Order: sequence, then C-alpha cells, then structure tokens
Amino acid sequence: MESLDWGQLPQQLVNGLQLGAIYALIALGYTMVYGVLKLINFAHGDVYMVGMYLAYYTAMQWFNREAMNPYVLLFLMLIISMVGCALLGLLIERVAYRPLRNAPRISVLITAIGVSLLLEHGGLLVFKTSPPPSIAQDVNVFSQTMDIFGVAVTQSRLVVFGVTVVLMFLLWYFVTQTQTGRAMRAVSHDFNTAALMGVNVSRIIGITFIIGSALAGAGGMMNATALGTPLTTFAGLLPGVKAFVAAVLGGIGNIPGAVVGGFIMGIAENLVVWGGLGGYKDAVAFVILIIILLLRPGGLFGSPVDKV
Amino acid sequence: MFHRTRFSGGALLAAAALAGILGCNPTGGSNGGKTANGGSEDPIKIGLIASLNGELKPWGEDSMRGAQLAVKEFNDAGGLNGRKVELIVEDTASRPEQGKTATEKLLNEDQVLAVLGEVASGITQPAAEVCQAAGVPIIAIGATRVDITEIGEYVFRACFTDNFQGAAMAKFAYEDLGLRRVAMLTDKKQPYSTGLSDIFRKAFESFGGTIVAEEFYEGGNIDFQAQLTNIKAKNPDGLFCSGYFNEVGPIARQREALGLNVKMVGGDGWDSRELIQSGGTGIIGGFFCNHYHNSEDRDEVRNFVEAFKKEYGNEPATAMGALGYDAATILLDAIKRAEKIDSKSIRDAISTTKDLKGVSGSLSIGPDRNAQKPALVLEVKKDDFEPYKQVPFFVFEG
Amino acid sequence: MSLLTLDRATIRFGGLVAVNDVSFMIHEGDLFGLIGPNGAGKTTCFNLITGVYKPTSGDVRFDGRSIRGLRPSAIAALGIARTFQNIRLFSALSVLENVVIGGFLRHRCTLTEALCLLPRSIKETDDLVVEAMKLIESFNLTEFTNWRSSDLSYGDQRRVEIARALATRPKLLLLDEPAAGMNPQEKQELMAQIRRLRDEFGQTILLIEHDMKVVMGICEKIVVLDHGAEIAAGSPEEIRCDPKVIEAYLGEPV
Repeated sequence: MESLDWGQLPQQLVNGLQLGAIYALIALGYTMVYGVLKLINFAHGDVYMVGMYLAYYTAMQWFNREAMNPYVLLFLMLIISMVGCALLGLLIERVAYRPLRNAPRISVLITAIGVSLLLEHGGLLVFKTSPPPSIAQDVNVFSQTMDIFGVAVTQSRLVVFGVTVVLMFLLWYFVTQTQTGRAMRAVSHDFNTAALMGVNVSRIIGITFIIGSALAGAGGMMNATALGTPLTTFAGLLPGVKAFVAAVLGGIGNIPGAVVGGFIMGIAENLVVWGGLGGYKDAVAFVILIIILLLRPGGLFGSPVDKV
Repeated sequence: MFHRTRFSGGALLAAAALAGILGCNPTGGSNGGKTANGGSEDPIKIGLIASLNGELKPWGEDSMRGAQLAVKEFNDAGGLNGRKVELIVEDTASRPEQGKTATEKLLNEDQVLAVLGEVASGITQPAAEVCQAAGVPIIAIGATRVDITEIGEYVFRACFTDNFQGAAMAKFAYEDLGLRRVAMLTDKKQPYSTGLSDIFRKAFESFGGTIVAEEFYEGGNIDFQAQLTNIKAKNPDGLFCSGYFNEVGPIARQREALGLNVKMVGGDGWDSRELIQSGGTGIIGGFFCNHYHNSEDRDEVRNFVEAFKKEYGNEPATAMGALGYDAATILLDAIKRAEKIDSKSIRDAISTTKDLKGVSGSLSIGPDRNAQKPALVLEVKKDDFEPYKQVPFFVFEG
Repeated sequence: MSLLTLDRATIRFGGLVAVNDVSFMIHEGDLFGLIGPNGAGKTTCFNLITGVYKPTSGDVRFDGRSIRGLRPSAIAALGIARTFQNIRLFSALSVLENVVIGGFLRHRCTLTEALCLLPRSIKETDDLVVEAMKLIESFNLTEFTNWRSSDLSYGDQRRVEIARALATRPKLLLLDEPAAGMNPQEKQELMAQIRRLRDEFGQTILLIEHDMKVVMGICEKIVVLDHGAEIAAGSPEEIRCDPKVIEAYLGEPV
C-alpha cells in the first residue's frame, strides 16, 4: 500500500459528509420504526428504491421537462417521491405489519423480509429495469462544481446536504415540539402505557411509517438525481443495509444516534478508499457492525445493556 | 459480453456454483458424439440457448433473432442440398442453472447436433460443460471470459475474448489517443472487470505507458467521489473503466463534477444506450471496445441490418444480434463442410473455419477455439455510439 | 347510576384463576378502595378495567356500556385513566412532556395538519402545554417541569404519574398503590391531595393500596380480595372487624 496522501483528506471528509447525509436520512426510518414497533423494517431500503423510481418517472415520463421550469420540476420530484413513499410505507404497515401486531416477533421479521422481496421482485413487473434507466443529467440544474479552499464541492451535493439538514431539523421539531411527536416518543418508550394514557398507538405507528418512508423517498430522489444512478429494483438493497448499520451504530431506536451513525458510515467509507482499500468499501459496513455488536451492543447512544 | 448474474441474490449465486459442480457429467458420460438425427430428409436440428427473460432479455432476444435470421437465409437459399436446418430455441431466463437445464433438454429430448449461445459467460459455462461431456459442439455468442473455451475441444466462441479486448483498448489508448498515464477503476465484484483491468495493465505497460492508480468499487455502488478524488491526486491523462455501464455512467458524471479531465476508455460492458443517459456530458468523448456497430460502413453490416429490420421491424438494439448471426453462420458453414452430419464431424469442421465473412468482421477460429477477429472502437456521442476505428486482431501474450 | 360495574368478572391464565367472580359498583364521586394481600388479584383487576386483559367471563360496564374487549386506548378515550404499581413514566421524556401526553385524547387536529406542522396543530400543542403546566403546579412540581422524569425522587415520580393520568380528564381515576415507596410525611400529603381531588373536583377514584392506614384514612367504600375472590365489602369500619379479612391478612393489625 502506498503512503497516505494527506492533501486529499479534507476532500475525502467532505465527500464523506455528503454520502453520510443520505445514509442518515434512510437510517432515520429504520430507527423510528424500530423505536415504536421494535421491528427491523427490512423493506425500508426498498421504499428508498421506489422513491428513486418515482423521481425517475416524474422527471422522464409523467411531465414534459422541456416545457417546465427546472426548479419546479425538482421540487415536484421531491414531493412526489416523498408522498408516494409515505403512502407506500403506510400501506405496508396496514397490510403487512398491523395484522401481526400481537404475533411473535419472528413472524413479523419474516414478514418484513417477505415485503422486501415482494417490492424487489414485484417491482420488476411494474418498473422499467432492463436496461436500467437513469435520470438525465439536465434535470439536475445544480451540476456546477465549486472550489472551496481546494476542495471540489458539487452544487447538487451541497443542495442534497442542505435539504437533508432541513428535513432533519423538521423531524427534530416535530418529534420534540409537537403533541404528535411527543406521543411518538411516548409510544417508543412504552407502548402499553402510552395506550393507557389515551394515545392512539395505531395512528402513531402509521405516522411513524409515513415520516420514515417519506425521508427515504427524499433520499432516493436526491441520490438518483444528483448521481445519475441507473435504477434497478434492487438498488435499495445496499444503501438499505448500510443505513441499517448506521442506525445500529447510533443505537437503534435513537433518532440523533441514527444521524450521527449515518455520518460516521459515510466518512468511514471515504476514509477506507482514501487509505487505498476501495475494494473493501462495502465490507466496512459489516466490520463496523460486528465491532459495535461486540463492544457496545446498544450502539453509541443506546444504553449498553437493555437494547437490542 | 456478460459474465454476471448481478442483481440476483446469494441463493442464485449458490445455485450457479452448484450447477457448475454438478454440471460436469450431466448426461451420464460421453457417448462419443451424437449421430445424424433421423433420416436424410428430416431437418438437421440445432439448438439455441438465450436469455429470453430476466435482466439479460434485450441481449438474449437479439442473439436469438440474429441466429434465426441466419438459419432462415440458409434455408431460403436451399439449405444443405435441399435439406433444411431447424433451430430449436430454449430460454435460460438469465440464470446459469436454467442454462444448464435448457441445454440438457436440447441434447436429450431434441437430439440437436450442435448448440449456439449464450450471451453471458456465467450461463455459457454450465451449458458448455454439458455439451463437452456429451460431445456436442457449442458456439458461445457473447461469452468473452477467457476460460470458457478452455472447458474442452467442443467449446468455441464467435466473439473475441477479454484478453483481446483489454489488449486492443490498451493499444488504442496508447497509440491512437496518445495516453501515457492512465488510472483504472475496477469493479472488484465482477471477474469480468478485474480480468479486463489486469490485461489492460499488462498490455498498456508493455507498450510503454504507466498505470498511475488503480481504484476499486463494487457493483451496485453509486457514489464514486472517494475513488475519483484519489485518482485526481495522481494527475492521470486517461481513465480505464473495466466495469459495466450501470456504474460507468455515474462515474462519468461524478468525474466531470470533480473536475477530473481525462479521456475515458472501457470494454464492451459499456454497450447500452443507457450509458449516455446516466453518464450525461461526462461520458461524451469516451471510447469503448465492441464487436460491431449497426452503422459500420461494410456490406455485411448493411445487408444484415436491412434483413434484420425487414424481418423484425427494428434494428438490432445490441451487438448480440450480429454475434448471434455470426455464430449461426460459423455453424452453418461447418455443417456444409462437414464430412458427415454428426456432432463430431461438425466440431471438426468448426475448428477449421477460416476467413468467413461475418457481420462482426472476418471470422477465423484459432487453435484455442476462439474467434480471431478485429475489435471495433466506438466513440460515445451525444445521442449514440459511433464507430471510430477497427483494431485488427493481434496476439497479445498476457 | 353506577359509573363502573364489575359483573362477575373472571379471568383465567391457564389453570390459574387470577380474578374469580368479582362484582362491585362504583358511583360518581366515590373514593373507592380495593385491598388485599399480595397476589390477591388487585392489579389484575385494574388491567381488566383498562383493557390490558379481556375478562374470560363476566362483564365490565363503564358509563352505561360494556367495555369488555375494547382496546386500552379506546377505554382511555371513554374516560378511565390510571397510574401504575411500578412507576411507568416515559423516563426519557421531561415531566412536562409526560403530562402533555395525557392530553393526547383531546388532540383534534388531523394527520395532515400534524405532519405538515400547520397552525392548528401548533396552537393545539400550545394549549395542551398550558393545561399541563396548571396540573404540574397543582401537584407542586413546577420546579421540575423540564427535568427528565427519571431524575425525580420516587414520591415525585408518583405524583407526576397522577398528573399525567389527570391530564386525560378521566371520569374515573385508577391509582395503583400510589403511596408505595413514600415516607410518612409524603403519604400524608398524598392523602390530602387525593381527598382534595375528590372534594374539590368531584373526581371519582378507585384506589389499590397495600398500606392500610392510607386506605382506611381516605376511602369510604372498600372491597377486599384474596386469591382472586372477593371476601368482603363495606365501609372501613365494617372491613376492620371482618374476620375473613383479618384471617386473610394473617393477624396483621387491621
């Protein structure tokens, strides 16, 4: 291995923050659902995939993008992806998870895997997959790159980062400052007591799925647009796994933990490449997972004993 | 062209591995080659395996149409002294284990004398193992992985190998583009990509160039900024991407955004129009190696494209149409020249194929049972790929 | 008319009959005590009333209708709130947040309003906070408003739980051993507080208590359970002299 190129470190850290923002966005969905239901929603990565496709269809098929203001189009893509995914998340909860509310946890877990496979393979029937389509470059009006103290920063990545931060702020506000958000935390803390205090637990669970899925949809839309990713119905698999690791890293069920975990994952991946081990980038996620499970099963922000 | 079974889960890979292990002796031992099926008035039966469903469908379908077209033309021109050839098609559904089953069906039920296909190396391998064991010749259509024809003396291919395309692109990069300092981006998950990068490195260095960096990613990754940042620091003049278009597109976009101004070069894994969409302006001006192109200025190509259009209503969407046609042409030519109409004689005739005029160039079968033919360098333009230059066949001893 | 009626309520867990054929009635404004030795089935009774368990047989009627088999949140919506024997505050949430949760039932804004942070949902949230502050004040907890509830003393946590239950504006308040873990001074204050709730606000209260002094001191009607069955009912004086009760408590001074 060659020696490290310290001059590239700032650029790699910035790259890591940008990548981590998306992981954080997806990780929030895992952690919120785990919080209220104690369920690993394996289908969450696939909801992100659907968000990518919704953005693609919005930009490339449903609307005439030549005749539209590009900023309006981007906003429309974001909204359609978020709303579409929110409805999908709600549907998944109602159809797949709610009937199993009192079933053993393993049944629900298997159902979650089933929903994931259903979206991946069922998606083949619905979505264009071969050859994998992608969102045209001209949709992304923020394609210029700026040089900030020698660090190349693409505008679109800056926008993605900004939107992510705004969404996280809105989530924080919602969860800590509104009545529904407080109820959500109460449910996450003690499902049964919250019900006895008159909290409509089903409604809160529905809202949790809506918010988590909408965030994944936003992540999907932004990534597909900024990076030009060719879409397949399996495109959510890897980001989903990494975001899940990010959620576990932060302490699953813990919202700030998911955000921090996402950023750590993003930065770790870039540092691995910086260190000359690019081929092991994906393996890092699992190495991190194993280390956490060994040293701190509850994650960085979770309690070391009673979680997981 | 494709070696992969990507997008498929671990179960599929496990099944493929299993098919590879079990596929060694599927028909209960070699029977020394099949003899003529039926009497001399019955059609001569040959088989084709193709991915007619699944992720490889666009390529598989083209390969079938090309082969069917060649057989139709052969029969229309009188067949073999009035005896027709019948092409029996089986679907592999883009899956290795299905490729094995389909081949066994062709051999055991339909009693075909020879097999054509597949477009993917991963599916060709189990099929070729079945054919080799049964003593039935198989001509692979798009399997470029080097070791495919090493399975045995009954295994041929109508396309060039990765060894040749890697060396050809290295030569092109060095001589025609004048590149001296090239960085490589390799998909660590795809043997196709790692193999192609290896041969490119050896060839490029043997011509006198330097590989300044090699970075890795894994198929399915979407963010390549980290690798591109490392590459940029090495200040290269070219970037060789040996992976598939799925990742090359985003790489091209992100390369441009990062201000990494280099010529991009790659292999036939780039061959999909989607590359232009996903690569945006970053991919324009890139060069990659392919087998042929619809717009090439040669009589064989013009005639083929016209006949294809007449038969199916559209031009072949991928290079597999021409390769399917060429694979069938090699087989039909061999049937004509064979001493007897049996698998063994046809095999011997295939191995002596020389200077046959194919759509994808002049075809000869070398001693390693690979087609010896030129590679075509395509340039990526705003709306399409355009033929740029033909690199004649040469032997590079990796 | 009775507010809450248990009509031959029975619950079995496998072979164990945890509550056996228990019947009693609570009227509006009652301060009602449910006592019995450990394992007598008192808390199970609470769980029956609040919908945590469904009675195996018999019925529970509240406010003129059967609530047998309703979900806990539906029962809470009808006006029954409770505290717990083992404190079950949302420990990571602040005292204020805990009490505000109790107001969820009166949260009327729609899903869209809540998700989009529309003015009505914000306004409603603010109103609930004001109400919660009043309750906190009435329990002398103002100084702890923004503390994590788990940082409070045991006695204070119990009072937060009562405040949280009251925030649902229940017709019937169930208190499960509210005095457990309190020192005599705190117990005195608690008794005064409970009595004031009934006297000033007409709050109907059903109380489980282990501490005889507390029960005898504030309850007007008492039902005694032992091994899941009802062994006595009546005023504190009647209960005090009942031989079955004395036997059940194995000579404990009653």
